[in-house]
Amino acid sequence: MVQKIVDYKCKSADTAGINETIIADLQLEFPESYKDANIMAAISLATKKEEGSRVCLLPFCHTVEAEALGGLINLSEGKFGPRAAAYAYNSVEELLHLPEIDFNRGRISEVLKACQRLKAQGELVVLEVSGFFTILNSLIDITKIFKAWRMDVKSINQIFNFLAENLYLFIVEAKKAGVAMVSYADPAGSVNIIGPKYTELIARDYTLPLLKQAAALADNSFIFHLCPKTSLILLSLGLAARKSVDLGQRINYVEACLKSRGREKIIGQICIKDARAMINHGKIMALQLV
Amino acid sequence: MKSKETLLKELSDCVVDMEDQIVGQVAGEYVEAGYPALDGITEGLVDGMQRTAELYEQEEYFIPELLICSDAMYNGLGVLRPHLEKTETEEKRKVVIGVVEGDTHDIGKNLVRIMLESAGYEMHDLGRDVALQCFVDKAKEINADVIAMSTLMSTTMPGMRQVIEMLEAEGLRDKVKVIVGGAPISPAFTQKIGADGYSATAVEAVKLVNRLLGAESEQVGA
Repeated sequence: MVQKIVDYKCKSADTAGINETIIADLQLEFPESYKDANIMAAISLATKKEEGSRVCLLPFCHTVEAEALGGLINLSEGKFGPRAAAYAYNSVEELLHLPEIDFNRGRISEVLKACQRLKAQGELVVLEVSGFFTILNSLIDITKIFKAWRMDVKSINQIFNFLAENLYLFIVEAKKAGVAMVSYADPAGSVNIIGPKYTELIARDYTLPLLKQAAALADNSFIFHLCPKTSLILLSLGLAARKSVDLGQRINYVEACLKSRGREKIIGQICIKDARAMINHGKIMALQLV
Repeated sequence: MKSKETLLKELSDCVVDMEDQIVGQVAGEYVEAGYPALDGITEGLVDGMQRTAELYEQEEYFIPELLICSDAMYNGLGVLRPHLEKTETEEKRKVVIGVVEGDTHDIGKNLVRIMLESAGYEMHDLGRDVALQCFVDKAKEINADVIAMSTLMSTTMPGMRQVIEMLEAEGLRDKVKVIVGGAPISPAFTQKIGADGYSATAVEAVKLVNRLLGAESEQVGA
């Protein structure tokens, strides 16, 4: 019997691209602006000011990881942001031979450099990392993944484990680059899209082990954040437990997450893009993985 | 030799049971037995897709299952379609469908395409991240009855209104119904931009198009 998994209604993560005012003010040109660490840092800083946020958020899309895995990405303009141009892979078999991510090459390397630069300027940097389905959705027609799951579980296992390894390495690199918080989200893997059966399989077999590894990286300067969609999946399946963290004052959500560094490993209550969200009662929800 | 009814049931079951590998053999057996291809489509494959849609509505099936079932249907169609009599391939109502420019989330759009196709509409799928003018151009080119647009992102929603404005500017608005869907789309937004209808699910989209085109009772077949 599959448990009832609660879905979190996404309010703000369905946006991408760069504010038109910022494009004009910084005289941004595309695709160059998506490829250069200095420009990325400038955009992130400008966005922080524009949105009245406490942190600099990077990157500006959900395609960085996919591109580093050979995905074909359209970087042609700023308004809508980078997006998959076409599927780079036609079969699950091709995904078995994905290249390991090279963190010293391409846009992923520039994103990490932008994190370093912002950190050097005294900024608090939050890096958004995409999850399994969000990445796969930019690489291949997702129907092929579901079909293979019925016929060839071994290959699917290999692909997801490969992605998990590379995502973990990305999180490690982010920490090295001075990122204060990594926020993990997999909107394409929402329960309302892939259904309870696959949601449970992925959460139990791949997301949970990855998060356990990532949570072990948490310390006084680094904390892990989860999209509330993923948090609710883990909680619904009994793979995580809630823990209330009392910060003793009315506080901005992102600030509260950062203040929990050294105390907690994973927070996942509100969308990280909701920069102005306030915690009026001073208590946020941390997650303890089972 | 199996009876027509047995083979129709097998075709329908192949779709519901996601037997995308076996359905081709069953369809071949059906054709070799000399049974009419049109019945194989409407009473076999489409019947299976309709049963699948019911399971989806009952939350027994979800998007992955629906996609695999539709693959089985298309595999069966690939075998049966070449055997349709010319008179059986009469003109169908035409729908242009796509994900608006700036967005590449196409699972919902694909489901709507599949459900409308299995309900007998001729689908012209422009894909994802579709330049707005392409919707208008394609509708003009094929004399479309419906334009169906979807998006998952709030940043790309305004494109839907722009397509409607383009249709108005070209004097086509009265000739084509416009329907919209996607996670951030609401009935209020639909009304605000002057679209003809909104559907929250792929199954509902079929009912919506049927209603807009006054075709509740029509079942042309895929």
